Amino acid sequence: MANLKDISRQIKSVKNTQKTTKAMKLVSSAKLRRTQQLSDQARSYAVKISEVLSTISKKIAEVQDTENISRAFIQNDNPKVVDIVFVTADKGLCGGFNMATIKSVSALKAKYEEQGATVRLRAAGRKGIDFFNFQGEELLQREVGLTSAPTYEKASEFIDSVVEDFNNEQTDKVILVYNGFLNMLTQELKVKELLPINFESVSLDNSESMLDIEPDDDGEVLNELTEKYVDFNMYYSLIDSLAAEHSARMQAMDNATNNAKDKVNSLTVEFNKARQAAITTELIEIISGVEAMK
Amino acid sequence: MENNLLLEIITPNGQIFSGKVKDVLLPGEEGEFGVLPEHVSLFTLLSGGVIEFTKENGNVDAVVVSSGNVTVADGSVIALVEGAVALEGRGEGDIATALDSVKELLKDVADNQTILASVEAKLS
Repeated sequence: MANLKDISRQIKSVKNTQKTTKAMKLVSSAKLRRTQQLSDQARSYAVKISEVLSTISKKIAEVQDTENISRAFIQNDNPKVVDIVFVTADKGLCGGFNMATIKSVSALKAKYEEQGATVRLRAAGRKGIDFFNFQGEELLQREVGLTSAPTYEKASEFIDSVVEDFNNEQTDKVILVYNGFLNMLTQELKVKELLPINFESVSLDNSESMLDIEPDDDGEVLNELTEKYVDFNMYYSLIDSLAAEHSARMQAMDNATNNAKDKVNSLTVEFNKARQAAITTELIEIISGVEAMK
Repeated sequence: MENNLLLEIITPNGQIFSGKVKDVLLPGEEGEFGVLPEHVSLFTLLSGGVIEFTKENGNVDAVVVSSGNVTVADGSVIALVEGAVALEGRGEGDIATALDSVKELLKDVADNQTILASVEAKLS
């Protein structure tokens, strides 16, 4: 039977842990609300930029072959070099959130390498970087601090070199992997082909109005739009991932708090038993002492 | 005939302006241009600058924007820009903050001195 002092010390320590996890849950839920606001604000831009890009590229395609102007619209089924951009959290303690992304990145990498392509990894978020560093994998680009406080400017800076490499024909395909927010209880892993732009993922607009496009250089217009589209997608994935991270952490911390509660309960029972045993022993000692004196 | 245009200015961080206006002056990549109701459908790129518009009550308002694009179609003007700072409804104390955010916004835009000067003129 464990000693009374030991058990009461253990109870105290579990209770302290419980306080911490409870506080972390509250912090995450506050942060989640703020992140969701960001994502709501970004939504109208998301809809419009997809609309504009699909309309304009279709308009240009009517006049001339889009594929001659921009690489970004040619589907490539046999890519030589694939860039995988993936987003993880900077911090842990959020359940399987980071691992889900990492596993999917590893699987994608294996899949493309099997097809004979070179895969380059670009990471945003400390957890993903640490994992692949530990595995001895090389990361082409690493960014810490971006995922915990995403802004449009920082996102576009991060993705700029990716777009540049793509335009210089150094990469044939860019894939974005992140764990997105589905609802308070579930996260959804999202794997998105960023470049070349897959038109099925862009909403189609059927308005057939006459549209003048300026400047006349179609390539310039398309490049500009593509860049904006990619920048924005990067930004949106960062917000989405942050929201998912907070919801995952809320859940993990909620579980931890409940577990701590159970642990305190069972420890208390054990404590009471030990105390009762001590009292019983003492009583027996007294009674047998009295009996002996008779 | 419709006398008003629907103007929307949207950034990744939210909608800056949405409402009926009488006219809009936009900083196009190939030069500043104005849009009135019944304008031909147009798509063009925007460089950094000031979007000026006259509201239904006749007040002239301005929003400073960085690069983006604009679609004019069916009586609506939709500007998608990376960043924007509204200049309307600011008190004396806010002007300094507004100027700072404008400077921050335009630091990547070439020829920002001219724009800054015009913004300062509008604010004072």
